[in-house]
Amino acid sequence: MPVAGAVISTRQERAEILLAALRACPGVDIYGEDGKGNIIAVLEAASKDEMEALVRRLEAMDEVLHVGITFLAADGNSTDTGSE
Amino acid sequence: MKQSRRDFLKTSAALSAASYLGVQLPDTVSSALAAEGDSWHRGTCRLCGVGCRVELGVRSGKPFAIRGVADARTNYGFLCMKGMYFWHCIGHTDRLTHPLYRAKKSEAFKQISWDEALDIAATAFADVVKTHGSDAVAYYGSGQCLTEETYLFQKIMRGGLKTNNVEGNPRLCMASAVGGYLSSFGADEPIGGYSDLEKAHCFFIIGSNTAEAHPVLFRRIMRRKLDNPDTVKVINADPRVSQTSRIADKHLQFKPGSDLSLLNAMAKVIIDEKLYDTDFLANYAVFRQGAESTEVTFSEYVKFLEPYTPEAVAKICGGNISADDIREVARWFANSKGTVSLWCMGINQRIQGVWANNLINNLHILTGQLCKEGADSLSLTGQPNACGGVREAGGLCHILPGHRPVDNEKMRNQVEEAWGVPIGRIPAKPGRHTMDMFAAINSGAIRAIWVNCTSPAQSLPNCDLYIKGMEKDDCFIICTDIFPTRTTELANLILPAAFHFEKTGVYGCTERRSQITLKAVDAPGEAKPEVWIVREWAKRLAVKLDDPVIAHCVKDFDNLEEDYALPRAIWDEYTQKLTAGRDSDLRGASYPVLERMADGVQWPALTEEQALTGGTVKKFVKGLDPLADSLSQNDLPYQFYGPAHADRKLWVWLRAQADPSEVPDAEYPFYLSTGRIIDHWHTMSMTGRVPELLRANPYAHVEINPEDAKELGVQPGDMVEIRSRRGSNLLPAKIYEGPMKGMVFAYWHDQEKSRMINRVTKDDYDPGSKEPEFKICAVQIRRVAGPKPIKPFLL
Repeated sequence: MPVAGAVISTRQERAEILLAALRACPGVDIYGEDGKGNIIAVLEAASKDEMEALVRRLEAMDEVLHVGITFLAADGNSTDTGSE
Repeated sequence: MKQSRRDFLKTSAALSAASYLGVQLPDTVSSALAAEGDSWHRGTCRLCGVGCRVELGVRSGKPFAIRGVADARTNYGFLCMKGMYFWHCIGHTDRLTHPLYRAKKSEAFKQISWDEALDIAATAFADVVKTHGSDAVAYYGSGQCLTEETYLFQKIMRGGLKTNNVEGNPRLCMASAVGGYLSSFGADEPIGGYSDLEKAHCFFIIGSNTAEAHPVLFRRIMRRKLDNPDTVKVINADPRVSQTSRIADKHLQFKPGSDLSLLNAMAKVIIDEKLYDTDFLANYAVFRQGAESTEVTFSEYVKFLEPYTPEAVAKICGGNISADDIREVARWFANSKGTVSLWCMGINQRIQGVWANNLINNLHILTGQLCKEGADSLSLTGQPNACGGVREAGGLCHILPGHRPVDNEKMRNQVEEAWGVPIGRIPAKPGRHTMDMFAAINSGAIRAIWVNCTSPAQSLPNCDLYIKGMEKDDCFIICTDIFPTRTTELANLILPAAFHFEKTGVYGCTERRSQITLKAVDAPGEAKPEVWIVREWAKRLAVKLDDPVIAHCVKDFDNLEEDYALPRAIWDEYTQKLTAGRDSDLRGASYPVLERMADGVQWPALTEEQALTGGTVKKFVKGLDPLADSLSQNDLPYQFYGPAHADRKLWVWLRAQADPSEVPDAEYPFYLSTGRIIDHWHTMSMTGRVPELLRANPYAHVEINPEDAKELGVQPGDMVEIRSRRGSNLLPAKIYEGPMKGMVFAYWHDQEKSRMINRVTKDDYDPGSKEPEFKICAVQIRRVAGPKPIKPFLL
């Protein structure tokens, strides 16, 4: 159950268009953006294969210049940590 | 509030991405991490030479994630996909976990104990030394070994076994840059570093697909360009349009091997249009030519450049280059507030590799684009410790630790005194360089070799020729590695090594930066750190050769535990005794300092006080480089004290165009060039074992220009034979406007024999650097069949 943190880059003037497209993508959660065309996203997938396919799909989007992964955890099971 | 593990990971992922951008996420997100108990261990990435800082997440002794760190000066939190996945090698089921041995290469390997393995290794080397002499044994290491490992191996070989047959695979990738820096600037390694990227106004990227080979640095360049689209220029010069070209203001596509002409033509424009820096040249430069480095006048240099008119060179280069293009990029280069050049294998892996390096450096000297913010002549390195370990710590046959030439008696004596071995112990003659070393295995002159953390059976050019020698039983081959490779297939003895984060040690990246990675997890099975392996081997060698000097070489390291105390003692000896007084002085970068300094230390750093500031960002600049101050001889702000130039000048070289050693002809009508793809690294022994990376590019292919494909009748996916005078490959075709017409391009990572492109490449090498010309040879291209199902292959 991999989880990835990513900065998805586009040209500044295209950021709103890309944000709208990303919000419609299953497995992509938007956490913010920096106003310069960099979008903070968390990617979730059910398997490594699906994560890989998701990244490739994002990279292939018209507005995307670069998908930069900043975090990747292979194990994302749903076991509670017990933290309160 | 309960937090699931998945919530925790999502929060970590979001924070990691946000921290890169300097964006503050809402407190509810940030505070969600507070109760998490996993440990994060700082270190560097294991793969390319950028030196990205990472943190490995460990839970219950097992790694579970990796992340970038936002304030890291190398990568600002970013990692490429390879960097994100390399930690999967730590627990991989294919890991070598026990010593394996066979007396004859036709036999199957048997698992043996470490005691037996070390005894066999010592006996093999001792018997060869007794029978054939010290120069019949060799060590072939890697730019992936820790500095402590390279240093200790070469100490045993030189001070113990009395041979300079010490080499490393950086000979195949960086040696021409070493030669270029030494002959242009008088000192190896860049003057500046990555911090210039955010201050540069012009990037000149030649012979480097930075976007795929060094993606994190490319991101910094791309960001600089995108943030300043009108004031920052990017020039990309390469025979192939690559991912790097997409941000270029100008892509110069030149015929392979015409780069010397292009660089001289840019210099001619700079001279003709008086774009050079008169004061910089008067204060710091001289002009030289020929094997004797004869000094010539500026007028003679101008005369030398006369044939290199933009019009004439545009014709020589072919491709898409016009005379006006050459003029325009020369102006951008010279007139910018700061120009950074970046290059890699496209320049280094040439029979004129040193010359090509000189001509890039020439442009910087002529225009004064050095020593100031945003300006540097920055050679990119492909491995994490080619600089720190191999170039600095004595990992090449002609260089002793601390950038000391072997053939200099005074330098040898300094090393001998530091080691406490008899004066004269280190032979005066440099050892065999890489290609000579493997040729000597073919001829029977080398009878035992230790291959550490590299796979020459796949990475040498014209590799079939050298595999023949390695296959024979008259050369005993020891391999230390973490996975099976094409070279372990040819070994007698395979020793399982600990991987990154399974041991402690230092890597030195492209920009003179040394960073420590501490052990965070245990190695699998009986895998051991190389420093332990070498120490124990040396103790047995001393007994078998009845030579107390060999025992003395490791006496100070005896009985130290191998996870921290042993590498620390080796690092201390190297830095305190052998970098003292050298340009690569690292005395201030002790283990405690490196552990405090998250980004490590850039040399020179003579004292802990200097090291705790981060060291030297710009060499040769008074006020920034302590050696520029202490070795100053005049009132000028820059002091070029490099050890190779007694005149303390930068040298502008007169280097004429010269063809590659093989060019297309009627029989072999195409150029072949080779390179790296973003998903894989070197011989794929690590990245091929990460399913996500393997699936992205499961096998190599050959890129063919659409015009050529049409003439050849090749469709996408067709199976194509590439044949040179040395060997052939059978690869699926990718029809792509990448390589220029008349040229094909193939990736070199694939381990499957019919797709190992180094069976096709040629082994001619630069006479100065001894680096082979992987990048250019002549081939035939022939469609063999339509598309076929192809399976990825991994040993």
